[in-house]
Amino acid sequence: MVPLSWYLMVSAALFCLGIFGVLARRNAVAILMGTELMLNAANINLVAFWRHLRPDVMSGQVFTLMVFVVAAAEAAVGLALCIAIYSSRGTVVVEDMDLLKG
Amino acid sequence: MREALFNLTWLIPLFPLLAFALIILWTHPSRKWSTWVAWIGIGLAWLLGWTMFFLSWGDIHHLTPPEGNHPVPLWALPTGGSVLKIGFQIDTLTALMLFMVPFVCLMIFVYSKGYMGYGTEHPDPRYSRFFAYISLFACGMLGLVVSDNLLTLFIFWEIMGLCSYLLIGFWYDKSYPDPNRITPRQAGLKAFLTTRVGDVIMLIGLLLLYSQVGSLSFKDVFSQETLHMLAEQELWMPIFGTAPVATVIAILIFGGAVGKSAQFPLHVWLPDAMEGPTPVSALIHAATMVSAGVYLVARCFPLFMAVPLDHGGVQLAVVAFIGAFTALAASTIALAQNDVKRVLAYSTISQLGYMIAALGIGAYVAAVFHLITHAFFKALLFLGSGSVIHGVEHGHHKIAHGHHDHEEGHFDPNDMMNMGGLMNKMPRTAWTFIIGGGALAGIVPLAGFWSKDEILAHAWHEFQHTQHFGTFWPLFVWLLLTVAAALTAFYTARQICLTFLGEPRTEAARHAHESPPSMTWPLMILAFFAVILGLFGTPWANQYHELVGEAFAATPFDPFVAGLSTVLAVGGAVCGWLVYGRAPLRAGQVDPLKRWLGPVHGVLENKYYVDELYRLIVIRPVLRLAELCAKFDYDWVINRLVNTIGQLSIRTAERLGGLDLAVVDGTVNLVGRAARGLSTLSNTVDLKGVDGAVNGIGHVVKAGGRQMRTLQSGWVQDYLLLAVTMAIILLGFMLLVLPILR
Amino acid sequence: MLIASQILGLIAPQWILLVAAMLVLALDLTLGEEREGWLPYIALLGLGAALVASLSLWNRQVALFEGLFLIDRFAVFFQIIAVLATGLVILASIGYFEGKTPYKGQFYALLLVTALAITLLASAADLVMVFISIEVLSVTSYTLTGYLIADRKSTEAGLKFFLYGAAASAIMLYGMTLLYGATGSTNLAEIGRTLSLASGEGSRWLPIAAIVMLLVGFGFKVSAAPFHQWAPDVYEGAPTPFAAFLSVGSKAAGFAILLRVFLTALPDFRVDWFALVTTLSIATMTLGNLIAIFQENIKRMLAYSSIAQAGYILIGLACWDPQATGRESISAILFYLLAYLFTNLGAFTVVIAVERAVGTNEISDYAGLIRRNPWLAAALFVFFLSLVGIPPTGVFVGKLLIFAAAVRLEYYALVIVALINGVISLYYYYGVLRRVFFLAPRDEAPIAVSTPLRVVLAVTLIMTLGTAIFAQPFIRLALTSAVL
Repeated sequence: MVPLSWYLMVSAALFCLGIFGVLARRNAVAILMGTELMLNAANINLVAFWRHLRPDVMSGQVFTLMVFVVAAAEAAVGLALCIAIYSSRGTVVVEDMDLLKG
Repeated sequence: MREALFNLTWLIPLFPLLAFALIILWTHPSRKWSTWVAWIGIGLAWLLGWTMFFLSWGDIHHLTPPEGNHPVPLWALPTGGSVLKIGFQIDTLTALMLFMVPFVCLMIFVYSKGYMGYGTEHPDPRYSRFFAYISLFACGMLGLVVSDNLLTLFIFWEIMGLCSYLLIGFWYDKSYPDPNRITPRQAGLKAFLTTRVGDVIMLIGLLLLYSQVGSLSFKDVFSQETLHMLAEQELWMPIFGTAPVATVIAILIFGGAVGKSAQFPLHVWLPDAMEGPTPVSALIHAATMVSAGVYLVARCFPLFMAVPLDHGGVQLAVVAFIGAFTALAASTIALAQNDVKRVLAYSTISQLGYMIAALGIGAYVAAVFHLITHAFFKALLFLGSGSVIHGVEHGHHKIAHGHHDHEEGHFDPNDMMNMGGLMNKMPRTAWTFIIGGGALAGIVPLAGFWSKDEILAHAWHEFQHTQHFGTFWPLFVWLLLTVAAALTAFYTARQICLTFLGEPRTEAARHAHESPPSMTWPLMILAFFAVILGLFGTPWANQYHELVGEAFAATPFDPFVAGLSTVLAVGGAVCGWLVYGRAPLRAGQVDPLKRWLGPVHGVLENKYYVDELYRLIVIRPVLRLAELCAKFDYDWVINRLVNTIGQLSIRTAERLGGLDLAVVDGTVNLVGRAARGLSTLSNTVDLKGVDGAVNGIGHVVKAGGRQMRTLQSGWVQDYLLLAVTMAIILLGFMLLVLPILR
Repeated sequence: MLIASQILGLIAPQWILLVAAMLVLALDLTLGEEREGWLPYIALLGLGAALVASLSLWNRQVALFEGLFLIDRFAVFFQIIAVLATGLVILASIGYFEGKTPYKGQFYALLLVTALAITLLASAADLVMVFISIEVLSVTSYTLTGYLIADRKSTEAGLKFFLYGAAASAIMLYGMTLLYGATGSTNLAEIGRTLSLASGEGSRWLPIAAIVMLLVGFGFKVSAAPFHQWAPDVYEGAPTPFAAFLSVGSKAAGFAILLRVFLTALPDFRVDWFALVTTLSIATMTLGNLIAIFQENIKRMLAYSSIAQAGYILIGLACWDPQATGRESISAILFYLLAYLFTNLGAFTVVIAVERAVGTNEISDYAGLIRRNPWLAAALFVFFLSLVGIPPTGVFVGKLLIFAAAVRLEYYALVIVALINGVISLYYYYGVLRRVFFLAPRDEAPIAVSTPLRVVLAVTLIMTLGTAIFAQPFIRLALTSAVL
C-alpha cells in the first residue's frame, strides 16, 4: 500500500497551490478555483485518513461526499455573485473592487 | 552549554533565509530597511558561526571525526522502504568554514551598500532585490557547510547555483555595442548551463552512492565498513571496463566540483561571470561558492582515499591532474587579460586548481588552509577591483556630465588600459589591493605564502619520501604548481602596476576618487586577515593541522621548496615591476608582453580558444539538432499537435508570469503599506511619545488606529494574505516556540 | 430507540424553519405585489412556532443520528438566540427594501434558512455536521450580503465576503481533516476521548495544527482579528438589517461552535489554545477599537465595535478552566451574547431608522439627532452606554461576568487590557453622541419611525436595560444552559 505520508504530501501541496491561487489570481473566478483546490486537498486527506485509519467506519468517505456537495453549492453562489458584479461593472477583477475600504 | 549551542546549528542558514523572505515580502520598497535586514541576517549568522568556531577550536577532540562530529538531526522523510534522515552537523571542517564564510559574506554585504549606490543620486534600481539574492546565497552556502548529508548539501548547492545565475544576470538589461562581448544575461545562462553539466554528473554519483549504501549521510557513507565495501565492489561500465565502485562514485562527485569550482574543462563560465556586480564576483565567484567544490572534495575525502592507486583507484590522480593543469593554464591566460576583473577571475581558477591539486596528492590540510586564506585575500582583491571600477566609473560620469556629447557606453571602466596612477587618488584601495596581491603572489609573510608553500612542500615531500600517490604525480603536480606560482606573481605585479602606478591613461582615471567608507572599511578588515591568517598556519605551529588534520601526518618544512617558491614569487613580482612598473605604460601604448610573445599572446588572450572550441563541437551541433527537430516538427507530422500544445504552454506560462507578478505585487504592496504604516507609527511614537503626557498617548492611540486602518485596503486578497500569514505565524508559534517556552 | 415521530418532534425547530422558508418562497411567487407585505409576518409566524418548539425541548438531552446531532440546553439556548435575532431583524427590515430591490420575499426566506443554519450549528456534534451547517450559514450569508443587485457596494461586499469566507472555510476544513487524521473519528466527543487517552508528545502537533486552522474558520465567523477584515466592508455594503443580523446572529453562531468544538473535542489541549485565544482576544479588542475611532460611516464604526466586542467575548473562552471556572465562563459568554444581541440590534435599528430618513450612513448625518427625533437619540444613547459597558445595561453585566472569570483565574493582564480598551472605545461612541446631542442639525425635519421599527426599538431597549436591572433570571438561564 502506498504510505499515508505520500497522500498527505500531495494534499498539502495541493492545498498550498490553492492558497497561492487564492492570493495571487486577480480574477474572482480564478480565486474561486483556488478555493476548490483547497477543498479537494482536504478531500484527499479525508479519504487517505479513512483508508489508513478506520476503513471500517465510513465517516471519512461520507465527509468527502458532503464536501463535494458544499463545494458545489458554494461555487453556485460564488458564480452568481460574480455574474451580479460583472453585469454592473463589466469586470470580475478583485482589485477593482475597493469601494469599501478603510 | 556547548551542546545546546551546537544544537542551534540549523539557525545559521536560517537567518539569511529569513532575511531573504523579509526583503522579498516586506521591506522591498525601502532600501534602508532591506539593507538592515540583510545585514542583521548575515550578522546573526556570523555571530553564531564564530561562536561555534571558537568553541570548537577550544575543544578540538570533541569534534574530530569520526565519532566527534556533532549531528543535529532535524527531520526524517519516509521514502518507501527506508527513511531519509536530514539534519545538520558541526565538525572541525564545518567549524573552519563557519569561520570564513559568514565573515566574508558580512564584509561583502557591508561593501555592497556603497557599491550598489545607497544614498547616492542613482542607486541601483533593483537595490533591495540584490540584497535579497545575496542573502539567499548566504543561506545556500551556510546550509551547504552545515549539512550532514549529501542530499541537503546538493540542495543548497543548487540554491547557490540559482543565486549565481540570478546575480550574474543581475543587470539583465545591460547590452554592449560590441556584439561579440557577452552580456550579463548570456553570462548568467552560460554559468547556469555549464555548472549544470557538472551537477548532473554529481547527481549521478549521488544516486549511485545511494543505490550502493542506502544512505547519503556523511556518517553512514564515510564509515570504515562502507568505504571498505565500496572499495571492494567492482562496477563494469562500457568503454571504461571495470573499476572499483568507490572510484567511479568519487570521480562522478568530483564532476560536480569541477563545475562549481570552475576546473578545466568546465571553467569557461567563471570569467564571464564577472559580468555580475563586483560584490557578487567577490562573494560568489571568488571567495565562497567556487570553493564549495573544493569543500565537497575535502568533505568526501575519505571516499577519495578509499582505493589506492595500485588497486585501480585513479580518482586522486584525476583530481591532481585536473587541478594542476587548471592551475597552470589559467595562470597563463591571466597574463594576457586586460579586464581587471578577468585577471582576477583567471587567478581564481588557478588558485582553485591549486587546492584541487593539493587534494589530489593528499595534502588535505594544505588544501583547506589555502581555501581559507584564498577566500580572504581574493575577496579583498575583488572588492578592491570593485572599488577601483567604482572610482573610475564615477570619474567617467563626472566628465560625461561636463560634455554631453561624450560617447557614453563605449567606455569600459573594467579595462586596466583605461586606468593607471590611481595610487594617489585611491590610497586606501591601492594599499589594501597591494596587500591582497602580495598574498596572492605568495610574498613572505602574507597569508598566501604559507598556504601555497605548504601545498608545494607536500608535493615535494610526497615525491621524495613516500610513494603513496605514485612516483610521477607528485612531481608533476609540484612542477606545474611551481611554474604557476611564478606566473601568478608576475601577473599580479602587472595588474598592480597597470592599475595604480604611473600616470592616469584616461580622463576618467584622472577624475577618479576614493570610494565611501562602507566600501573601504571591509577592504581594510579583509587586508588585516590577509596578513595574519597565514601566521596561524606556519609549518612550525600549524593551527589548521591541529584543527582539521588530526588524521593526517603533518607536512614537514622544506627549506628548498620554501626558498624556491619565495625566489620565484619575488622574482615574478620583480619581473612584473620591471616590465610594467619601472616605465609605466602611457595612453595608447601597446602591452610589451604582446610584442615579446607574438602569436602566443593572441592564443592566451583568447583563452586557448576553448570557448570557440565548445561553440564548434557542442553549441553548434546542439543548435543544429534543435533546428532539425524544429524543422521536423514544424514541417511534418505533428505540426498541429505541437502548435496546440505549444500555445497552450505559452499561455500557461503567461498566466504563471502574471500570477507571479500578482503575488509579488500584491504582497509587496500590502506589506509595503503595512511597513510604511509601522514606520510612520514608530516615527510618531518617537516624536510624540517623548512628551509622555496623556496628550501624547492619545495621539499615539489615534495614530495607531489610523495606521492600522491602512491595512483595510479594500482588496480582499490583502485581507486573505494577512489572515494566511498570521495563521502561519500562529502555527509556527504554537508548534515551535510554545514547546520551548514550556 | 426513538421512533420517527419522536425524532420529528426533537428536530421540530429545524423543520419548522425549513417549512416556513419554503412557504415564504412559494408565497413570494404566488402572492401578488399588493399582498407582498404579508411575507415578513408569515416568516415571523414560522419563527414563533420554531420558538415554541425550541422551548419545548428545554431539559432534553438527546443525541440523534448516530451522534451527529445533539439536543441539549446549550443548543436550545442558541436556538432561542437565532430565533430572536432573526425575528427582530425581520421586523426591522420591513419596509427597508422599498425602492431598493423588487425582490423582497426571498430575503425573508433566506433569513429563515440562516436561522435554520444557526440552530443546526448549535446542535452539531460531529465535524461533518459542523462543516455543513457552517457552510449553509455562510452561503446564505453571502447571498444576503449581495442581495441588492443594483447596489454596487452590496454586490462588492457579497463577493468579498464570499471569497474570504470560502478560503477561510477551506482552511478550516483542512484543519478538520487533520483532526480526523489524528483521531480517526469525526465525532466531537469521541475525538475528545481519543485525544485525552493519547498522551504521547509526538502526536500533539497534528491536533495543534488543526486547532490553528479551525480557528481561522471560527475566527472568521466571529470576526476575530486577524480574521476580521471582511467584516467592515461587508457590514458597510450589506443591507443594514442583514448587517445587524451578521453582527449578532452569525457571531453568536460562531461562538456556539467555537465553544462546542473546543470544549468537547479539545479540552485536553487547553494549554495550547489558551495562548492562541488570548492573543486573538487582545489583538481583536485593540484593533477593533483603534480603527473604529476613524470611521465616518456608522455601519463601519459599528462593524469595528462589533469586532472589538468579539475580543471581549474571547476573554471568556480564554478563561475557561475545567476545574476553576468551567461553567462560569461559558455562562458569562452566553449571557454576554444575549445582552449584546439586544444592544447591538437596537443600535442597528436606530441606524436603519436614520438611514431610511436621510438615505446615507454618514456619522455627520447624526448631528442634532436629538432635535429631529429625541426618542431615537435617547435609544442610541442607551445602546452606546451598553456597548461601552456602563451600568445599568446588559453588556455591562456581561463584561462583569467575563471579568469575574478572568479575575478568578488571576488573569489580571487580560482584564486591564480590556479596561483600557473600554476607555478607548468611549472615544468613538462619544464622538457620535456628541454630534447627536450637541451639534446643530443640517436639516431640521423630524425623522419618522415606522411601527415595526418602533416595536424593535422598544423590545431591544427594554431588554438592554432589563438584562441588567433584572439580571438574575438571565444569569440563571445562562448558567443552566452552560452545559456541554
